Amino acid sequence: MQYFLPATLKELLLVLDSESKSEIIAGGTDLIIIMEGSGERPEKLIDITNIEELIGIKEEEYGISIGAATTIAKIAANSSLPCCLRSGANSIGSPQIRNVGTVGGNICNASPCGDTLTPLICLNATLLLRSVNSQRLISVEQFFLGPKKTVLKKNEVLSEIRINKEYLSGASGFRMIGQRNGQVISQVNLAVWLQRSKESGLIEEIRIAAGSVAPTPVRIIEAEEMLCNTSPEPELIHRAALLVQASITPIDDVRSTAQYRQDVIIGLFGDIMTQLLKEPQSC
Amino acid sequence: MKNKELTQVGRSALKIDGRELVTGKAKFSGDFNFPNLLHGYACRSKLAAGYIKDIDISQAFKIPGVVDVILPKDIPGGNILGILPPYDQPVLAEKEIRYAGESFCLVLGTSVEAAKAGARAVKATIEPIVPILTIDEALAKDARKIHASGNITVSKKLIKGDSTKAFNEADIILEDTFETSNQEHAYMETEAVCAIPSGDDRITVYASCQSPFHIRGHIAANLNVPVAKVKVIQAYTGGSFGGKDDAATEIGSLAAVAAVRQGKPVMICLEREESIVGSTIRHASRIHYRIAAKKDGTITGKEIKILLDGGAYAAESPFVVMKALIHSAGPYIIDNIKVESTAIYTNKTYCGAFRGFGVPQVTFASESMMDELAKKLKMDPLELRRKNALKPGDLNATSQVFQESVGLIETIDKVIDLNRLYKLPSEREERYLYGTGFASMYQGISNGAEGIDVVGASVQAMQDGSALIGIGLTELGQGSRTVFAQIAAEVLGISMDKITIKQVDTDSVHDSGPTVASRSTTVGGMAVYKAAGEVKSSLLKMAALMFKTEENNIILKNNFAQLVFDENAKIPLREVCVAAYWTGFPLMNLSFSKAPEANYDQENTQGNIYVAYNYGTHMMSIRIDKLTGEVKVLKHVAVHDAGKVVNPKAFEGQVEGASLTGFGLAHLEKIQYRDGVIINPNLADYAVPTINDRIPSETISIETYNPTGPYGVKGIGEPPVSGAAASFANAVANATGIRFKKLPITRQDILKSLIKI
Ligand SMILES: Cc1cc2nc3c(=O)[nH]c(=O)nc-3n(C[C@H](O)[C@H](O)[C@H](O)COP(=O)(O)OP(=O)(O)OC[C@H]3O[C@@H](n4cnc5c(N)ncnc54)[C@H](O)[C@@H]3O)c2cc1C
Repeated sequence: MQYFLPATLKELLLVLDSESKSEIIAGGTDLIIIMEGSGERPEKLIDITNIEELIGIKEEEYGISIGAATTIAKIAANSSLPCCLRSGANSIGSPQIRNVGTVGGNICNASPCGDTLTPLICLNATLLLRSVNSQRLISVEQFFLGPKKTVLKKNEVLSEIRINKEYLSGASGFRMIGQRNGQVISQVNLAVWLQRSKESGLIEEIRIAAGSVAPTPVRIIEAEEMLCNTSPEPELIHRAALLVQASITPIDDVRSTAQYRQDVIIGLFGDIMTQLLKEPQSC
Repeated sequence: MKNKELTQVGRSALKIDGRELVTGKAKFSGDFNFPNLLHGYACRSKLAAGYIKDIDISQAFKIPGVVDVILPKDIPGGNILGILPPYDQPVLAEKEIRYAGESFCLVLGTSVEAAKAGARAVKATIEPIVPILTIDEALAKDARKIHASGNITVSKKLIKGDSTKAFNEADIILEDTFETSNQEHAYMETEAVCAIPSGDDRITVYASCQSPFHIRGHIAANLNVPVAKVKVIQAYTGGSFGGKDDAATEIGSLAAVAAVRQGKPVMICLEREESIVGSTIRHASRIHYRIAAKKDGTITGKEIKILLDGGAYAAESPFVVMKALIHSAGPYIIDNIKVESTAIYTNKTYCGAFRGFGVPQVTFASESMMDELAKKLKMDPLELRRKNALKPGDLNATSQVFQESVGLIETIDKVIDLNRLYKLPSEREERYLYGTGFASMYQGISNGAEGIDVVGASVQAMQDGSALIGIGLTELGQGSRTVFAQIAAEVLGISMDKITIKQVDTDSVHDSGPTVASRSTTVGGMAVYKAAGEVKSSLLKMAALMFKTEENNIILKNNFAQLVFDENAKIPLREVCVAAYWTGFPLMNLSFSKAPEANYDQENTQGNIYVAYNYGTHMMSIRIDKLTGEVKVLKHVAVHDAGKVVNPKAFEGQVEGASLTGFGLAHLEKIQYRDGVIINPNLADYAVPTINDRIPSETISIETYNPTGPYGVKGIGEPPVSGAAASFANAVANATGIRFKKLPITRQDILKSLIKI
């Protein structure tokens, strides 16, 4: 196994553009575990944590750009980011994991339970994928194909995550539940972003995404539609929660029964909505 | 030995090994490095049951760095594991695989990576057989026999009075069945050993372990050499909780065999997954419980059937069976008891000692039944416990009588007072359910029915007035070294900074049996007390000569010998030590403490078993989130009668730690199997409590004087596990109105039941 530590994006893309079996490593908090579990090693291991262009959170004209190799801890601590993304990041693992794990790793690992995925979906984030000869922008919703499967091509890297201005305003929240309180993987996680009209107080736009309840994180459009142009009372929130419940297809696994995922999502949804409508600023 | 003025005992002394531990200076087994060190990595079965047809090791040797592969036939001695009869376990499986995770060969490499890659390259042909995975499958009429003796490891009975009559004459009879899951020790440091052959034809093994003398014996048996050829040194050990006996013996023996064969040092450090699948866990249990009572709340009889799923090998099942048997009726006066306690073999990871040792399982059943009985009788649950509680002079379940140091009623009264003062949050939100649960328990101190209980300790005073203590019991993080130092300091009048406790090295300390059964302070402390007492008598004799007075006019205090009636007349102890040395008075002593032997009718388990019992009552108040099933512990009080408390801070640490283990057992932790394979062998999916899951335990001690321990001590290491687990279950029942009969009671279980109603 060869280990590469490119210093620029250009170098990285060149190394990536070869026939050999290569693997990008960022924090390694997913990859190393996979490698240890299988005993298999790629021919090339390409470490991207030395590439400055991939690190940092920058304000841009369109909104905010997050470098893919930015650590989870940096995201959790950045107050210019929306609440749901920060609290999603903050609920990942332990301080040690958050200090080395990256947001790009969380996305590209494409686990249905990744805790930044649902926030990014409800913030309508776009991903910039680059290869030596081209680049493309893709909506995060389109990125995931299944557990550990994405549209990323072999010679591509996720270089940045973009969030548009309109999603930086508005209120957002994230909730997850696991088997215990500390260092815990989501049995279910849920993120909601919404924008209310200044005049009427009605919800103008709302985006809801749920994780660990289907092969990929899922957006729940039916519930969004139900709540749009309303100023929801508990009754309506509960009806929307039932829609959320009906839209998911969870399975039994080592962390949770499908039943619990079905049951608990109602509570989590109600909890976020009540909080967002009552005190949207608290994060 | 009544407690007059104590200066060291009863004081919150700092942990004497705390500094090296927190600064990283302490060396653990995996920290060692020697020239030419080899690393061992075991090949483990992925199947729960099968016959080994062939092991092809040829591919392993193609991996760079692989040096050797050890097969069962390469073990010169008996290929034997197991601390007790029936000695049914091999170090390496030879013909039959009995659990998923069982090792059948060891690959040696120049690095861990090479050894591990080598282990992956070994091709084993194992013919699968249908595994037996549940108690019912094991007990089925024509079940396959996991061992030649059958599927019952051991079964014991306890019979007191006439339970049939009690049930016939009862006003009320309740009965129910309870279950508990396996629990993993999850120590911070996994099992690790390092074996070094030496030029003098001996072998030294550093081990992270609980009972170095067990390991020493097994290494000798597996090497086929005299025990005296083997030296085991307990390295700093990052937790054990009962778990570092069998697996430490397994890897200690393997490393020694490999080191002798190669003439090089060999290290084996288990990975977390190996530590979970390949070493003991707590017995899962199914307990059928019947209780007979009078209308006034007097419990007249109990009939209990305990089934312990012990996994593939006996390990310490025979002892756990006894402990569960003896404790299952609870700390109450009950004239008629019939208990049967049985351990069963299944094709799963083998079970052994784990903090509490069978008592948490039976206490959960017993205390759940107490609450159900209270409900039925419309009695206050604490009043019901108080009414039936053991007092000094009463006969307990084995008809043993203690005239002193039975503080159960005091623990209940304390909780009654605290409960009266404590108000659950008044602002009860719609979203939450609130409840409080109680549990009383007791736990025998010392090996008791598990065999002879002897500890040897040496105390040596130096000419500079310092002292060196040697004892064969191990420091596992529980603070025993500090407690022994306090006792020696108390006796000798030396300050704590002048006391050093030896590492447990089997060459230099006496075999003191295993560090188990909450016995260290009581039985071990007594040995230190006696040895120090002998040295003290030399010093007093010398000081008397120096002062030209009688010995009883002298006390040893603050590093001085001083006159009782004139504290300004004093001689530094170091001068007394020098003079004693040159006068020829012995400055070193090896003393033994032997607990009174258990003396009982083996057929019915009636008689004197333990030297003392710890008694306790816990109270736990919780809040349940109806949306998610999450439980927040608002208040937890653990009141224990542990005799005299030697070190209040360490005592608090033991109570908090053991309570958290109990909370984990009751709420979070569950070993999950699929086809007999553990599917959550890591600390992400196996939900051991983290720092964020800690419960707010308050520790209260009711000090009684136990005549069988130095200064009246008993023990505290294990008892709170049961109290916390059982009070949690009762708190959930109180909050929800639902009686959960299976541990753990997880968030999922709670939400599911709340939705049903
Ligand atoms: C103890 C522990 C607890 C954890 N808890 C959580 C949790 O609570 N919630 C959660 O969501 N996750 C959790 N994780 C998983 C993990 O920490 C996160 O998914 C983390 O964000 C992964 O980032 P990384 O940089 O370490 O990824 P890596 O392991 O370096 O990479 C993961 C995958 O992404 C690919 N990759 C990484 N960066 C890029 C890129 N820029 N472009 C293309 N491909 C890329 C890699 O090739 C690899 O396939 C936990 C992990 C551990 C070990």
